[in-house]
Amino acid sequence: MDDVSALGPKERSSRRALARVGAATLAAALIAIFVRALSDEGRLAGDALRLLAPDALFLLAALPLVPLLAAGSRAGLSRLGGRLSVLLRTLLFGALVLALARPSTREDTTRTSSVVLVDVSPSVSDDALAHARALVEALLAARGEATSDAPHVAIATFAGEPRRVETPRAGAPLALTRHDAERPATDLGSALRYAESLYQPGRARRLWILSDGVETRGQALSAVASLCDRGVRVSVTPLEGPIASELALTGLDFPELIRAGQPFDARVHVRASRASRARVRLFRDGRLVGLEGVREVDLRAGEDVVSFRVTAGERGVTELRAELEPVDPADDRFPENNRFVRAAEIVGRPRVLVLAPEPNRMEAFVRVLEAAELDVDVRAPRGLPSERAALSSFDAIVLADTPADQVSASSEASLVAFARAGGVLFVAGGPRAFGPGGWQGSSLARVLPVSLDGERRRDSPSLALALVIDRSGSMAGEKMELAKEAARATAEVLSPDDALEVIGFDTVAERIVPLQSAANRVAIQRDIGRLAPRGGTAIFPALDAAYQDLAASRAATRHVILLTDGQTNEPGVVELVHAMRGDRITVTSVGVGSDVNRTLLSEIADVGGGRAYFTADPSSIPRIFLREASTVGQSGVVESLVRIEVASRAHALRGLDLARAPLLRGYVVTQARGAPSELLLRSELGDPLLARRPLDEGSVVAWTSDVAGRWSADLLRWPASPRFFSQLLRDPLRPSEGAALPLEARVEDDELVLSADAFDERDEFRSNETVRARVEGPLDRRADERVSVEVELAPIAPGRLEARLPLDRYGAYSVEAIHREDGVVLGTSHASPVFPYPAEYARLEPDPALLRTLAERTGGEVLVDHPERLFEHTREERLEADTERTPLVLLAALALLVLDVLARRTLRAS
Amino acid sequence: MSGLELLGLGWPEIAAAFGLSATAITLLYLVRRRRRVVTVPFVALFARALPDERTTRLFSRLKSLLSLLLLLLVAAAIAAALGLPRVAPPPGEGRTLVLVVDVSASMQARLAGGGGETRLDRVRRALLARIARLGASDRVAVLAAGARADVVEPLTDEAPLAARAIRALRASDAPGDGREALAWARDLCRDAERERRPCEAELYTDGGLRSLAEARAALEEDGVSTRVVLTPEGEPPNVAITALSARRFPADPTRAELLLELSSFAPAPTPLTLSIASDGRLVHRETLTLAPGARLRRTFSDLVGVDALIEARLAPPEGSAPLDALALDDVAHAQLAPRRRRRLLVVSPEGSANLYLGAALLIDPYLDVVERSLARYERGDYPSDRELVVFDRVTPPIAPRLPSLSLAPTGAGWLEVGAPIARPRFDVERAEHPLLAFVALRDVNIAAARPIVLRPGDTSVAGEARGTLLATGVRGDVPFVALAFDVQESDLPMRIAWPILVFDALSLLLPDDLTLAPTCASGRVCRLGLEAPSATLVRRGDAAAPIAIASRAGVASFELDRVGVYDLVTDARAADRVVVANLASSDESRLDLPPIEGAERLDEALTAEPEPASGADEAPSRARWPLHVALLAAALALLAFEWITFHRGWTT
Repeated sequence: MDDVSALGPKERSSRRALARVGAATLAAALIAIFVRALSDEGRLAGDALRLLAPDALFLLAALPLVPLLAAGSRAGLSRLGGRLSVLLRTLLFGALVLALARPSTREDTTRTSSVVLVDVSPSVSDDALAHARALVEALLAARGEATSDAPHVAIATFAGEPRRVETPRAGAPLALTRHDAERPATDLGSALRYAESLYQPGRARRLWILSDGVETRGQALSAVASLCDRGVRVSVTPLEGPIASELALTGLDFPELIRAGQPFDARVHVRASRASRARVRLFRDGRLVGLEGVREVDLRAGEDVVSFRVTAGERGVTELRAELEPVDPADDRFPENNRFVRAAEIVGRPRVLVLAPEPNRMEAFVRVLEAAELDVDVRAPRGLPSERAALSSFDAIVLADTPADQVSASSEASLVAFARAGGVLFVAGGPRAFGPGGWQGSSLARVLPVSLDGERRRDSPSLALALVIDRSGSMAGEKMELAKEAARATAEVLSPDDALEVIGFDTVAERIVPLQSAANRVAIQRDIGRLAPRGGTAIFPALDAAYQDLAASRAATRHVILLTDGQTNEPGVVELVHAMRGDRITVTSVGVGSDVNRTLLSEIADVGGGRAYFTADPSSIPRIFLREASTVGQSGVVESLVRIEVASRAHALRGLDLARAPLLRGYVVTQARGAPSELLLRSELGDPLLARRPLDEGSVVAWTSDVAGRWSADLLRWPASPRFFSQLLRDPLRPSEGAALPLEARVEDDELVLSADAFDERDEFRSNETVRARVEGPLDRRADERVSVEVELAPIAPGRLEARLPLDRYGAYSVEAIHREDGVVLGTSHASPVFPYPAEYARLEPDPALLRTLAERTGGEVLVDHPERLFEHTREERLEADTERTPLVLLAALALLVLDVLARRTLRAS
Repeated sequence: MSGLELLGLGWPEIAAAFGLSATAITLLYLVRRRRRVVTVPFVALFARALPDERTTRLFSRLKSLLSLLLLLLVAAAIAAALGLPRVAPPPGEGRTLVLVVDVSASMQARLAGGGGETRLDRVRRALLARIARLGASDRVAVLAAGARADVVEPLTDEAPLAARAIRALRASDAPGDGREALAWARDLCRDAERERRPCEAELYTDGGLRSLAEARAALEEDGVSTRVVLTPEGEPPNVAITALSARRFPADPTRAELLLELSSFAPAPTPLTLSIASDGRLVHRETLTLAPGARLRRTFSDLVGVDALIEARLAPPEGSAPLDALALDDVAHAQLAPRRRRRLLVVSPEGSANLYLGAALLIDPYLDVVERSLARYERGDYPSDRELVVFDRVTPPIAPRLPSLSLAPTGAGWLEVGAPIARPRFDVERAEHPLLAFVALRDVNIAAARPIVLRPGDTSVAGEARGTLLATGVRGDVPFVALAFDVQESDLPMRIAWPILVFDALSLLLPDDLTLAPTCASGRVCRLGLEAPSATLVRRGDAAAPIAIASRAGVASFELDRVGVYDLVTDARAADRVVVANLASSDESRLDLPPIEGAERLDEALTAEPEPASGADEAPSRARWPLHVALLAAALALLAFEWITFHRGWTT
């Protein structure tokens, strides 16, 4: 370390100067840091001193320059004078910098800035509003002319939103208009926050609320906390007055469970502000509920209930609407709340429509379904309702052993649409269903959970077909040629695995083509050419010959096509066909011309399990033959005793001991499809017996055995069969008793809140459950005025899903939700939320308690009269306002300047 | 033509102040000069001998006069500043500018490469610059658009006040809605138009405000010019906890499941560490990578120690660099519903307690049981707060006003029973009925029973051909459950089914969702059951003032702008409940919001002064800096000059 005393005067001086500069720099930095820490948003000493321009304080960092520049002074001041001058000049600089920072203090003041908030919402009566106007005008009169010394007054009206009102001169009328363009509501919280924009600075803040205290939106209590922080004192004037007469419908109750066709009580809740008389009407789906649908009732002040006896209609959603009409219109203020609409869900037993070509064969199946508590309607396929609405009244449709040619294209589309819209389409097998029914390539086949393509079994000959052709004299000419052409074409379409025989008959039968493999196409074509007309008509010998030949065949399907154009009344033909049927040989009859014995041919087809065709146009013979060959040729029908095996343990098979299920006697061979189709049951041969696939909102079930008893007679007698079929048909059914899942729908703050709990049977959470809801309404509006939206409920907690939907139209809504787990439909649920009218019309009495709370929390008072008290300053309260203190600081600076001059002029070195 | 207006002291006061100070200063200078004039004859001789002395004195006098002049000028500047003078704009001149600032949660997002600067910080800087460019006669108001609108600064022509308001802006933790703030802007502009001042609204947002398009359209309809300025765009990386909730299992409230959903809004895979703490104790920690756009939903039902307050937190795997642009959604809280005590009244025959019933009720610590004899019950000698009554082998004549569980009803009272039957069995059960959840009664051995006589609407839950042994229904609008035999004369109490049956009955009779505690969503109305008329919510780790809430009809409705954990305090007691609030919407976490039509980018808007609104004063705006600031700056400069010259001896 250097010895300072050893340095020369010059070095000592420069070292001192350096030390001063360093000290000054350090002091400046410290001041800057101090200022930064001190000037928190311009607040110093808590809230007592505020700086409007706190950044100016950074100039204080220049203060160390004052002593620095005075170093080595040649001013000739004494030592005391020099130090005093430095001090005073530093203070002077500091004062000027402080003045630049614009200090203000919270001071008591008698100058006030008042904001008046007037509630003009519909719940405030005209009388109350007039009273409010008079009070505000009195306040303005007390204020006098709007000079700078007079109290400041700003006025705003509020309902759903606040709105500034021009303050009139004293004595001028005040315009307080209602906010008609807004949706009826009262948002006091919003008005309180808005009031902040209307104050004049530097004055004590007052807020005066004139309201009935009915808050339908917002949070006034939350907003008032902010007012407290800003020193606003809130005074209130509850606009109570005499309660205006008002009638309102506040609710419409009915039992949770309403069964179709049963009577129930609908309870209409009426609220009256005072005793009055009114008519209450109840409508169901827009029609007055019978003679009892109108009641004239004496209402007490308060809540009353008017009950109606209503008979439920058919299953589904029905709309109940209550209307109120005061006998004396003066008793009612708001017509908006005289209407209340709710949707009711009428439940009944699930309805199943069974479509079968021969409805009388469905008796056993119908008994099974009825035992499962299902309502069953059996019709021929032509009886399928064409209207979508009529179709949607069914929960499931069973298409039993129905060939494609008995279902029109539009009906087929309706069936698929039914399934897509949420229904269950149950396609049951039989000799004329699936492939044998000619469904290949149809739109229905595309949505089936099993494939109809390539379904032939390859391990044995499938088809042995005998064409028994009338060659009597009447067949000569075109008919015979067309018959031969038909036979040739039939031989062409058959598979090489099939066998074909052609028998020509007149009074005797001749095997034109002996039963042989269809692969011998050339020989068969040649032999068919030998067919020539002659003689009479005797069917029996020909059928008998076919019977003998086919009985010896091992083919899975053995079929005879009988073609004739003549009249015959041979005895024993039907019995023969019956015997053939017993040996599982089926017979189809084709009658050409108008002279055929229709009765006999129909009976042959009927008993023979085939089809009967009648045509006057011989040219249609080839088409009929081809169709028959195609139908029976592609039928992979297994007719033998088979055991049912479970392919997958689905929910639809719960509680069924299928290992003990009876054997089936046959089924149609199909092939399983991949996801989303699901194979539930299969035969011991591995072929699908039961498969299911979801299809949009609904599902399609394929049961490849039949329900008519031919193959499933034992199954239909099985005690568990009602449960078996019921679970298949009911599992994903539409809303109905027992199938409904939990769904809550409520309206909160103009939002529809849908929430669903997702638990399984063991009360564990279903974490994979999804719920999609369709919301429709208001139900009493026209379709084009309704909201119809789909929302997906999102999981908000374990086992809880929720969705929120803003509602902008009043009325009753219907919510239908589909619950799924891993894509499989668990069930559906329904709710009927109601958003009857704005809450503004629901609360008839003022709520002064809220207003009083606001006043209490801010030290305000309830002003009933003498509104000029708003301007008063009582001893108990402090009226605080920010006052700028820059002039005071500047006066101090002037004084410091004079003192500075005094010091430097008097304290000179001697 | 504009004039000068004084906001401080008036001209007379200014003149007086200047006069006094100037007089004092001048006098002091004069006094000093007289004292120094001392006549010494030989000095005059020297003076004559030294001709330069005259020049020196003259120079000294001039220096003294200069010093005086400088100080008088300083005094004049200070005195003039006393009046706080300002150029008064002529009536009708100047624009009204309403600045609406989005303070929704997404404005807390940090900017890429911004050194920790957030979107709101950037907007603040831009607005401070914007205000500095305003004209002297312009007025400005500052509104904040959060979940609700707030007036941060009403219309003012004081730039410092507006600047202070802008500095005070804080982003909330809630989604923002532009409807209310823009409606207020429209209202302020209507006022300005009454004064014939053109008005325009400027909205500073990141584009995430709800109802923006409709509110803007309404403004435009009213002829109010709007300018939307977007904060910097891009694809800021963000991962978020978009759902967290805990729920007790209905069948076993001692167990709970936690649902957690993580979402990635990042353009690239994001590695992160997820930690879950229960009451401050770490119960789960794992590292995973979220793919872009992924939404990962997880449930945890095996978290040992999950008890009351759960916190899930996302952090970078190393725990160093920030995980993403928005930290707010990297933490979420959930709470388990506190188990409410059910208040039971057990009515038994005098001196004949049912030990089996007592034992079953003891299993659940959340039962508050009071026992009474039938006589005391009929006298009303029991606490009035009971919620459910259990009649054990007694049946009072009048149906109770509380939900009831009747064990072995005697037939002498309100519940009808049939003739006794010997050795009944449960042959028929409605297994799906909630009374039989986890209960199998099929092989229970019973000595005797008096079957329940059902009325329309009652449900036979279990029984046999001779009658109903377990039923439920309603009498006088109050639900009941009845078991037709004395459990002490059966082997039911020996089975686990017995306490479960009792609890199933209690759950059926007192249906209350005790499994799920409400979680508040920031910025949305939260409803909470509250028996006390008022309470306060105190946010943990926050010095902000408690939030007062009030209850109406047993429900308190309030809104919370900040996410976190709040202690609910009633009657100045210690916290007796916890309320948690999480970010309401995952939209706030989606930081790459679509651009808004016609919006400007913030950096472009900073460099471009907007075109004046139609009818605006197109003359160059004067500085809005108040005149007294210039005066004081001049005074400071003069004082500094005078100080330097004085000490250097250039003035005296």
